[in-house]
Amino acid sequence: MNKIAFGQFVNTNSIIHKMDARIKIIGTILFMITIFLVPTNNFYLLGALLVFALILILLTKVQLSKYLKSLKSIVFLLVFAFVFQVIFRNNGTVIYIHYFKFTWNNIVVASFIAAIYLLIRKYLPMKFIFFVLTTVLIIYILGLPMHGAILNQNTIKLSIYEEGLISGSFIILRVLTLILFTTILTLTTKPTELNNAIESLLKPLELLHIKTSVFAMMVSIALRFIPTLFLEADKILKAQASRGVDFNEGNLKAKVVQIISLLVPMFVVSFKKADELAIAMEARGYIPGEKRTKLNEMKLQFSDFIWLFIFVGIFTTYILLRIL
Amino acid sequence: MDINFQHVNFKYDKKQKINTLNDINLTISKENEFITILGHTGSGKSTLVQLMNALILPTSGSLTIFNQEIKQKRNQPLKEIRKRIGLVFQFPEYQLFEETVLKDIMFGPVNFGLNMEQAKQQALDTAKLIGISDDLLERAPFNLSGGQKRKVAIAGILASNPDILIFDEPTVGLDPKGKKELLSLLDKIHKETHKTIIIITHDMNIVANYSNRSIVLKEGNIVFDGKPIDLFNNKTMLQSMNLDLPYISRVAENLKAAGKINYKSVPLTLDELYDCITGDLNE
Ligand SMILES: Nc1ncnc2c1ncn2[C@@H]1O[C@H](COP(=O)(O)OP(=O)(O)O)[C@@H](O)[C@H]1O
Ligand SMILES: [Mg+2]
Repeated sequence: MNKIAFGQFVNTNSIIHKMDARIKIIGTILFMITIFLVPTNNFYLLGALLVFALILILLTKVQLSKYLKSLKSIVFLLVFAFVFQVIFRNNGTVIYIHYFKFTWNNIVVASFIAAIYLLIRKYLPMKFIFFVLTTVLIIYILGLPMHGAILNQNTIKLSIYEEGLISGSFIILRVLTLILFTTILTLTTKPTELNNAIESLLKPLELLHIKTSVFAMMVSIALRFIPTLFLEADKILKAQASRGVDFNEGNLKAKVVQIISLLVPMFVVSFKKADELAIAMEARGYIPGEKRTKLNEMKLQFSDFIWLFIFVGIFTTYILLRIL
Repeated sequence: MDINFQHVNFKYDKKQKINTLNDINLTISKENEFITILGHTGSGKSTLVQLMNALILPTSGSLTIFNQEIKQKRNQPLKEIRKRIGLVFQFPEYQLFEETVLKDIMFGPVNFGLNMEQAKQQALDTAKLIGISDDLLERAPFNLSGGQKRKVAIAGILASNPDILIFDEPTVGLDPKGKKELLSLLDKIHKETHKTIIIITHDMNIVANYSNRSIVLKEGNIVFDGKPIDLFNNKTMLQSMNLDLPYISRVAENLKAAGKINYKSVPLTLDELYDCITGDLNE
């Protein structure tokens, strides 16, 4: 069940991988703030950050496809934001204007294409690209001046303004850069490392008598058990299916029984596992909140200071640019 | 044949480089077979039996169960197959969820379309057959001992009255008495109803004493399919698969090595060993 292994960590042992996880987290946070410090529609400053992100990406030596994958999940959001900006901006310089005048012919051709798309959708590779293409094609066809009985006397006006395009692009670029920075962090840092780093960064909270190490332990146990629980759920699902539970079955009552038949055993298994783990931990001398040594003590290297210097340098530059 | 594998391959994930099960060819009848499936942990035994219940679908090749071709698609009617082939998972006690033992045993039969009355009757009969006492029936399944829970879970499968019974390592974690009881029960069911029973096990004594056919898996391939006696006489196979001989056979080997008895085919059961010894004396 490797596909649900938690986190996306890819080990290439690059210099970014070797960077102290705490520095990576601080860097990521600084970049997030920096991205929002860039004045609206200032493509140069944002572009510079994007270039920096790309340099880091090259340094990680992780295949680009991994980054594309993490972008894929937000493409929809990006497209939506862009379209929203473009359509609803209505001041400034008009660069394109279109009057929609629907005729029956438009509708028929467009629905025909939509129907074909829906039929063959299942067999298409790269579903998303086809979805966008089809949508664009349908909108285009709806806009074509066709002959035929006119459906609606009123025309619909779509005007695209330069400002809309610009701010739409800017938003896309901004989110893109943001996602790239966080992806660099998750692709090059093991979940456990990340957890240790957060624990270490939260150390100051102990002054307020908050036991950060206990929370860190809880988080790392939770991370560790997610794949295990998925496996258990899969087993129980199959066990109930072999007792005649049909998880495709529709009606509400059946659904409730299905869910109960899954949830109750899941609870039982989780409690049992938690119990066993607690006993095993106690047997090995774990006392919550007590001081523990670490197998991999995190130590800042000289290179880590250089990285920190670079990150803070960029951050302050952007602040200064913003103020001045 | 009732279960028919032809060149079946299986992968859990398309991206897997090697098949979890590779070129499986197998026919199993619903009558008179008592099959043991052997192999190392991770060799694909559990995967194989899940295919037989159509809980997972073959990646390629042809799998036919009770004349129904199992296709590689999601919405196909599989309930009938699940009813006719009862699969008891490893550690089945984790699938219990109803408020009472009785209700849990009834769960399968109700799902497979019996009405409440019939299901209850089936459940009561099965509970009796398997030796679950009446005072347990109204208790919550979670308060039972491990062995009792296992019995309830097995009863839950038997109550649907399947044609073929499959058990994934059913005796693991049972005490010797519980183990013996379970095996005698299966043997009894097999002898009385002639239903085919399939057991995944690591216990050579089960192989020797109960089964009439053994299937050995190695890294997803079937490397042996035949009579247990042929398996135990095949020294190279036993060695390469790291399989032990049953206790009785080991005793016999030692006796033979000491020159006390002689035989062509190694005795597997107490009776066979007895025959071997008395036969020798008679000569
Ligand atoms: N649900 C699953 N998802 C992915 N891989 C699995 C799953 N179950 C088992 N496997 C893998 O398939 C192989 C065969 O497993 P299994 O059939 O459980 O072996 P056995 O029962 O002989 O010990 C193993 O390598 C195991 O890791
Ligand atoms: Mg197994």
